[in-house]
Amino acid sequence: MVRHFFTTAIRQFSKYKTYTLLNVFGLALAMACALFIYTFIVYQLDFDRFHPHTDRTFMIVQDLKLEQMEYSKGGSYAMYSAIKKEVPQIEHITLYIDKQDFTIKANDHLFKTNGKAAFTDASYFNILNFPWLQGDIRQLDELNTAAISTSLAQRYFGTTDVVGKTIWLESKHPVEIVGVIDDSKTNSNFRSELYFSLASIKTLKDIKDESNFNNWGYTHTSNNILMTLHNSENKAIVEKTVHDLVARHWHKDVLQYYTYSLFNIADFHFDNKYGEGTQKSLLAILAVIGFGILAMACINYINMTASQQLYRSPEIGVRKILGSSNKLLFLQFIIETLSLSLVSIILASSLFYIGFNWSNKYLFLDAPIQQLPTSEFITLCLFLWLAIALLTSIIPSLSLQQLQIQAALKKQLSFRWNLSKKALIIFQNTITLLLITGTIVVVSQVHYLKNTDNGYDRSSILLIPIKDDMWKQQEKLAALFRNTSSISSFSFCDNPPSHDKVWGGTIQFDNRAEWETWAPRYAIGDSSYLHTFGIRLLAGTNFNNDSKNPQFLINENMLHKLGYKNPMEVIGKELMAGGLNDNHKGRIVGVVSDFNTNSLKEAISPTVLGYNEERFKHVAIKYTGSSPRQLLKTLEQEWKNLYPDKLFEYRFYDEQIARLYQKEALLEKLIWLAASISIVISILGFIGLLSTVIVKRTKEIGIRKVLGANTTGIFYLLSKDFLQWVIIAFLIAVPISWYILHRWLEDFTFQVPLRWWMFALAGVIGVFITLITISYQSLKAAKTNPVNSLRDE
Amino acid sequence: MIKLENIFKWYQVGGARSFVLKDINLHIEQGDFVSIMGPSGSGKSTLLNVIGLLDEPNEGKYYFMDEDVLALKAKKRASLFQSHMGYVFQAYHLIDELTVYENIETPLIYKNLSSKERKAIVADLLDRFGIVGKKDLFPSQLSGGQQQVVGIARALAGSPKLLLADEPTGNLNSKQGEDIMSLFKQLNEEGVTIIQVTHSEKNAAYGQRIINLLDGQLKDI
Repeated sequence: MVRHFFTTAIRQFSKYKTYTLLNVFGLALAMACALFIYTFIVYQLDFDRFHPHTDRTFMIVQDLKLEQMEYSKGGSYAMYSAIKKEVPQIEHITLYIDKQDFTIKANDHLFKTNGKAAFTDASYFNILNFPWLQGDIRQLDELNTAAISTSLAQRYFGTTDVVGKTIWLESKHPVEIVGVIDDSKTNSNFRSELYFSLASIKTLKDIKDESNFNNWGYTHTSNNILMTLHNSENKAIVEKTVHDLVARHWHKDVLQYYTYSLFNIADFHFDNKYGEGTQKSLLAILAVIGFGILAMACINYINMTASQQLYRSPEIGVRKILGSSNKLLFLQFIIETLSLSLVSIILASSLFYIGFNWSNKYLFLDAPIQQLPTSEFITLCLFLWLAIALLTSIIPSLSLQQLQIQAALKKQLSFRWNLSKKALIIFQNTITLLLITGTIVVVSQVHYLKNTDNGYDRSSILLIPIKDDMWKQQEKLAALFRNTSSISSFSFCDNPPSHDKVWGGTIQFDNRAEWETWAPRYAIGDSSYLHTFGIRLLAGTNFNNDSKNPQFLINENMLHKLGYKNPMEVIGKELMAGGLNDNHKGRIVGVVSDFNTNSLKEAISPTVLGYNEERFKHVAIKYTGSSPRQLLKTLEQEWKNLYPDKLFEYRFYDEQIARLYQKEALLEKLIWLAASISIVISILGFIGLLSTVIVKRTKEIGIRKVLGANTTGIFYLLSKDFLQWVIIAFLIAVPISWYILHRWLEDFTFQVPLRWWMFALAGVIGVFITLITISYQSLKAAKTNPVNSLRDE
Repeated sequence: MIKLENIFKWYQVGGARSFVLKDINLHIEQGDFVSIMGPSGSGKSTLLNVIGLLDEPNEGKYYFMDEDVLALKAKKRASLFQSHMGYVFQAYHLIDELTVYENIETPLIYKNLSSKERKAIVADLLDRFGIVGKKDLFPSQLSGGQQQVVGIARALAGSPKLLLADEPTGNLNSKQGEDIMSLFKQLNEEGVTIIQVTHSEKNAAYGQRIINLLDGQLKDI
């Protein structure tokens, strides 16, 4: 019997090829989408939760009490040593110094580490779950050793069998590889590709100043102090001990400003203050979108099956007459649905794999997401398959219960679910319209973020990093730049405007006795900084390149923050800028207009501009002409002469700014994709539904035509209902999307306003898609010869 | 075999009842070949459907082989129907996706016969109706007359005691119609009770008995 049903099902599918394809494709698309979203969410939620004792593993974070609280992670080497020595409640502790940039020579090739290198010791691998595939972990505590991930080993040496090989750091220091690390787990914020032994940091980084190791104040956000406690209940005791240590070894006044606490590493990924700030709400929205799209596809499937049942109702009637019970009819349906959704889920997994690889290549560039374990993936697919098959069989099989044989034979079935069908189609269009509106607004906002220059000019600027001893040759570099005709100006600087890392410090102004309770940001560069970045000088003169007699510029915001209105009132006043120039008091020589030191997610900060060559990390080059290709070639050539051991690196400034908004850009791409998928599915839905309507109204259309209705009239008749539903969906979608998008935009200091046209555009797109979709079938129905539709038995 | 007593069937139209069948009393013996005649809308098909259990009367009693059918539970009724009746339609109602062979086999599948038994019965029927050569064709590949032959073969697959035919020749030309009617006559001679609805005097003449319906009432028998 089952075989009989299979034969029928397969012949049925090939008879209605288009519908079968639409059904399978729609379901597959939605299921692939759901699989993808599930994988993405699981990957995000599992961040740093796979370590052996995640619940009792912490990192040190600090809160700085100024006018505003400033939160940061990290500590100093001295603090790490003291805690390690003096806190008994700790089982393992490590100092993990990450985001290290080096040029590595391996097999006579040069490679950049791109911030994927770190310093740490063997304890790190007791705390975090990155298994060693080869080598002895203890050797990482020896001098000049390193452990490497399998993929990096592949890149450097073309093999993972690299224990005992030597790599050269900056072509100066030989380092022996003592271990190879499994890097199959990537969802950790405390992960690098290349780990140098912490013991050798002094030699490898050429650190001559001992204060780096014994001064408590040398804190840095890259100095992650990670620890596993014997018992997580001891957290408070350890925090207390840390404060005691700070008071004893550093200064008790420090505690007036700083509070230290232990922060669980698993919370880091979602934390706003110290961590990555991945929005859980974003994951929730994605989950809702996933379910929504899946629901849409199921609705379509049901609608299409229902319309199929109309076509097939004589068959169903005959089967009942031939002795089929409702149970057997249901079995027949389930078998059809099961086989159809089996094909769908197989197609879905292939679509998923394509989409997964594609998005890791283009969407999540820097942080590729990870595939689920195969067994989990297969279980999930099986679950989806059965759930979808069951869900989509319920409504059509319910209608079987009401089946009247006589009516069935004459294709005159009337399933009593018109209302719910309308509700379903409205629901489906609401989701689509929400996503379309979301796409329009997110795209506008991201475009605004990426392309708005507040107070500076980003165009035609190259950034070249200046590292360690490169500065020694600055005279030659400067001469080179001056003599290159296509360079209109250049500036050695710390960071350009609009940067994610912003240096700042406390200041003492004029003859005020107290230091200010707020800390301005510092824009540090040479005197060409203003010219190169196009920052406007409002009053006074530019600063000079002299750190012994420092001159400063401040921005308008800072002028107001200091309590002045007129720039002239501050020019000439003294300023002590801690962290910019700790040795000499300087003088304010001018005021510039406001510009964004940070990303547009933050408001404009009070900013001091000044000269400090020790902090120079970049040279910014403003070039003339539209394409710098020739310039880059020349520079690369000169680089090889000047720095034979360095790779020539550069970045375009506007690209670097765009990277500030990666999260938003990712959201933009995701919502764009979701909207497209939902549009495709809702188109399939319209086609399915319209065919039901047309079957049911064939007779009516025929009669109307006999009575003189023309094609346009019939087209209007058929389209009217659909347009009505889209308009209702639009009315529902507008307030919901307005609310959600308004909330989303609130997080940005600089935002595009919500305009009526954004919603109207979404509505127009919705109506347009509907009309396009239904026009083919409607016109076909409207053109049918009434002789055919009115013919009876 | 069949006894109808005071059968009424009506539809509620507005406030009034519109009668389709009015006080039908009918007795049909095993082995009869009965033709139901009457103008359009006289209730012929409804009467046939009531007899075939595809429709229920609003009032009256229906005994089939001495069983009070209307008092039976739906399941019992369905099995009674399945084991004793075969149905032939004007529009054949073959299942388009199934071959001739599979169409004839379908009722046997629902009867839960083993594949061996099914094979024997279907082979026998194909042979008897001379359609062995067509067993792998689909309905759309057959002429109307051939389709109706398959329809009859399918109706007979369950070896019913009663064959119900609603205008079996309505969609056929006269030659095909004659073939079908002589087939019916032959089946009747082999012992199958037949009730057919027809418009044609000629077809009715193949039967032993004619029932005339007018406005839902029996006219002189």
